Amino acid sequence: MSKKNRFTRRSFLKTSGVATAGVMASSSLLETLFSQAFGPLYAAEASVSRLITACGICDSICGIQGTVKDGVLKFVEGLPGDLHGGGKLCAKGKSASGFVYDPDRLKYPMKRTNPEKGLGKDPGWVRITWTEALDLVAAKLLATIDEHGRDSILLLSRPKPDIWMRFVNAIGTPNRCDHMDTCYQVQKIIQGKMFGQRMFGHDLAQTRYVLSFGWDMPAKGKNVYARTCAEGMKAGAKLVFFSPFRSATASIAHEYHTIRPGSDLAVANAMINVILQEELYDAQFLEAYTNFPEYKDAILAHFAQYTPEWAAELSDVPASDIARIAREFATTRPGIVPSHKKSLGANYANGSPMQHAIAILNILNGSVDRPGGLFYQRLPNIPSVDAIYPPPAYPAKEGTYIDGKDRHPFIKSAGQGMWSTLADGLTRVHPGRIRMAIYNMYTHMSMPNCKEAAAALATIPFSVVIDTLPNEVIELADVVLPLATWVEGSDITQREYNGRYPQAVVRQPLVPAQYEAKGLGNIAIELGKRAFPDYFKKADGSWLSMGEILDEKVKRAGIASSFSEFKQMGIWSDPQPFVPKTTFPTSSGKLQLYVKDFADKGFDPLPFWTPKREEPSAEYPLYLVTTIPSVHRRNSTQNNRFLHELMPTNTATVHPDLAEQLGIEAGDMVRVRSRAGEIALPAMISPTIRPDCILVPHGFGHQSKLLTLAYGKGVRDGDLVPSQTMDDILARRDVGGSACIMDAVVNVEAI
Amino acid sequence: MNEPLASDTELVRWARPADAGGFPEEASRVLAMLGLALLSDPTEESLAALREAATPPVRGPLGVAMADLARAAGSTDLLAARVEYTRLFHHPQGAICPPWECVARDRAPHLMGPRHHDVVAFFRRAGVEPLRGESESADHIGLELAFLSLLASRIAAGDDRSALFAEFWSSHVTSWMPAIARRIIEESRIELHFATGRLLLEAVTLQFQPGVHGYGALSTSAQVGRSDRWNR
Amino acid sequence: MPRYGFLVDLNYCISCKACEIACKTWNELPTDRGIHRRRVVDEVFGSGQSVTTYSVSLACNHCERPACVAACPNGALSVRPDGLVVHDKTKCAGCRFCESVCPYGAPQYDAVEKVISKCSGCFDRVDQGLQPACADTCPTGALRFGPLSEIEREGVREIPRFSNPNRTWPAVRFVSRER
Repeated sequence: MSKKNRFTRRSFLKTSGVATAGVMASSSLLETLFSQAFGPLYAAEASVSRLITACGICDSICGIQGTVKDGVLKFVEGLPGDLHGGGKLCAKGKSASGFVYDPDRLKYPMKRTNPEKGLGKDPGWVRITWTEALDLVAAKLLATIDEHGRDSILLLSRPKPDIWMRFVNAIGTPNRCDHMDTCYQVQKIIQGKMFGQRMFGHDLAQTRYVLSFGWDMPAKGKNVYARTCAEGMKAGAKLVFFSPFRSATASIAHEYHTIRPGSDLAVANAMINVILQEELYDAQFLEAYTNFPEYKDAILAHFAQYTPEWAAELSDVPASDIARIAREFATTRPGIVPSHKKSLGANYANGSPMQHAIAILNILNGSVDRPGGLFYQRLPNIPSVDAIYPPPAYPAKEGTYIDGKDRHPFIKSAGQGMWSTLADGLTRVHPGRIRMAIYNMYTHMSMPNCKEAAAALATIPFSVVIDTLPNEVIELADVVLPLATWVEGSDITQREYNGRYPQAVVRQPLVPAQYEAKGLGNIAIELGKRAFPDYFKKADGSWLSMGEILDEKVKRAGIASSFSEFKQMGIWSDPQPFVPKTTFPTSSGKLQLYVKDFADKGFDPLPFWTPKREEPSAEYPLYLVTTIPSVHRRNSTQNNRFLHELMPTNTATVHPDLAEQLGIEAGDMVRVRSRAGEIALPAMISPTIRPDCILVPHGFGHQSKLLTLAYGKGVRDGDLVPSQTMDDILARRDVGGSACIMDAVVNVEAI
Repeated sequence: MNEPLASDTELVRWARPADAGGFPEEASRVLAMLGLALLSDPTEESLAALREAATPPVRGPLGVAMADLARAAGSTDLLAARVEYTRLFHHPQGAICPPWECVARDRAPHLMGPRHHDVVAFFRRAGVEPLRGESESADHIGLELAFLSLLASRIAAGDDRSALFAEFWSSHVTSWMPAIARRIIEESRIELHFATGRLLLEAVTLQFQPGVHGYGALSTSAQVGRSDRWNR
Repeated sequence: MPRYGFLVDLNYCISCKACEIACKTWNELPTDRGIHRRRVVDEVFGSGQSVTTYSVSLACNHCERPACVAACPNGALSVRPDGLVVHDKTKCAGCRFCESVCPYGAPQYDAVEKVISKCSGCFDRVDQGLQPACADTCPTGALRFGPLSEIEREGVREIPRFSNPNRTWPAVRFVSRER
């Protein structure tokens, strides 16, 4: 409570007579209490307001209209006219109030008073003021840098917002790690070189053919993709889906092929071969806009080895189907081969060549940056905070890269950080090097081999946790800072997934941040002021503030005269016509089928067939397949009461043939083992999975006891997924550094 | 254990106007002391107010429990009291006594939910709002007790709110406060919270026995005696 | 006044369950007692190489001859002029007769409040010219709401495992699986 507010309330109490009634001896008692408890009656009846904001569940960032009744968030719905949401929302976005009013939320800053850490040790948490918490973290940060160097600080955080990155850059550590190797990293590296841009829009609404290798966005309930894919299909597009698991995407697909896990690359390469041999590609497009003419002979020779018959052996997809679909796809234009993070890129050791093959198929169709194809998003020109308020030069990021990414030429420049090699770095390569960790909305639950990761993170002597919920890493924390949820945040969001023209949607608090939670931008500024003041001052010497930063951004982007005006507007568009590109942002201005940069650094310039890391053996005869359920977002939504009710726990899906072999019935417990670890969970028997696979949904198995709903429900697929080392990645010449989050083989037994 | 009915607790009787046999000013002080002890973690200011709160003495077992709490507030170490408050009510690895009625009574509790709205409706009938800026759900134990204290102080000033008091008591006190009081008593590691739990248990379960005059004859359903642990 | 009904397109339901949450949040339903006024059913048919899967979003079908209304001894259930079958909690005695006669499991017993909970067709939204919350949020348009005369032209009355519509004349139509 601010002093000003307290004064106002006190005045109210005096004038209204609330506290004076009946007070004789204990006036200080009653007044002390009532001044903290009551305010004047502010409304004779319930007030209803409607505000526009932007969803924060996934990177789609769909536009939202929220209804707030009597100060309480009641309902959210889609924002009409929004390029992403299109007036619709998914189950996760619709559950917004479940995040805000979760009783388990972190509410106040706290610090540990018992320096002894460990299982069964009471941390002696005590609530502290924000001032004390920020002073403590800043002092510890500076002392650690002083004693052990900038590279002794590890941040587990996303690179947003940009003011947070200013804080990270001011620390100057090379060790900011996010989950990108389990996510987009492969796409970013491959597409960055081939197209000169890392991520793409997908014009599914106008396409005529969707060829999906494990791209499972409809089944993940992703509104923007599901909606536009359905629009395209209603206008006549065909959807062909390859996956070992018959998900909801298979349900709506025209054609579904139950492919052997990790063999999609064989099918894709064979399709490229058919298209090249039969010259079914868009010759004009290849001639004008790609390096195909320059490397034609090498490309033809390379793919000639990959025949449909060869691919059929590896994939269980009939050769005739492979050839037929290749012909259909190449001649049905515009067509698209969509891809999205977990859709193969991060799943297997051959994720990089697979992503390369997907890109080539899109180029052969001639649909890149054409209506109905992959397109370069048209984004609003929102300046970064560093462009508005130029900072002093940042310290160089030198010293130990704890995840080893500096040994890999492409991962280092992608600048993200690795989950899959972190445990190896912390415990074997550089033990004891990291002295302080700051966690922002991450836990080891999203890392391969969670147990090993948890043990590795526990070796770090001092930890700060910035989160909305008491997730698993709270066990390691010395200081806890409560974070505002996306429903309570402020930002300017652009339409990255479907930006056919520039559009921005405001993010504004539907309700004030509950308790003492603060947004990450404000936390960055407050920590920055204390630790690195020179980076958090404007030219005139005054401090940066979030309000001013947002004002300047909308002003300079030409969106509005101030952020508060943008809050009223809610949505801003510049509906300029879509003009297809004729030069592309690569070094040569042309799309790169053959990537010379890869060859120059000793990696494959074209997608070579590479098997997945692990193939079934006598000991581990089955493939592990994992999936993200439509009603959850990874491991962050299991404690939301709406989503928890829909899906509280996970079960293993087992094919009826395998169930018979194991002698199990629906609901029986099974133990699933890999070389990394084991889990036990109930089986669900269904022909929607291949008989040589077992399917485990991701995101369950929370270990933090304060997640009242989620604690102890289900198991972690990550316990089955082996971690890896940078040596492993370099040995297989993996240009994108896939985390191999599905690349495991297992055995299953009835319990 | 059968909880007493709303109408037969001693404190509800106290919250009647003086001319109807009540002691509303004393009821207000009992409840204010509890509200202050439970609303948020201890500060110098709140401990000072608690120290003074038992003077002048209040009659009967409630008065004894108040005096114990005042004494505990006078002797506690502030940091220890704050750590203990956090451990009991806001521990990030699992609070022992989450202080919200919804958490105690609902299987899928949510703050700012039906319990909050119901309490707010009561607040408004008395012409006040829970402080909005702190975004605390109104079914927080400290706010509920503060509200009862407010009603009692109104009654003491001649504004008879005893019907509203009794209605709130039966809707929002009897169903969960005895249980959380016992839990606080069982789990507390310092005298401040032990004494708080004990005063709360007395306040919400102490039965009024008609026909018996004099407070020594009152019985408590608490069955929790003073512990020797902290006797000095 | 038109009579309303739901249209469920089996070709486009992705089982995302946004409709279920829309129903829960708009109608402020509890999440702790298994009440699902709208629910998505995942269907799997066949075995071996010939497996078919699809998902269907189901709720009260606002029947033209509603068995529940006839069964209620307290007049808690009634049919509005637009065909929506609505339930008045204040008249409900929790006898559960409606629950036992409905072929579609639409009235559900709330064991805490001891009354029936049932899809209202979001008549409060419909009266404002809005779609029910569930149909309003469906990303793929697999669940739609509109005058029965219109949706009748697009869909059929029966799909496998759906109770015989000749009993109660449910105001729901299905676009059958085409693929």
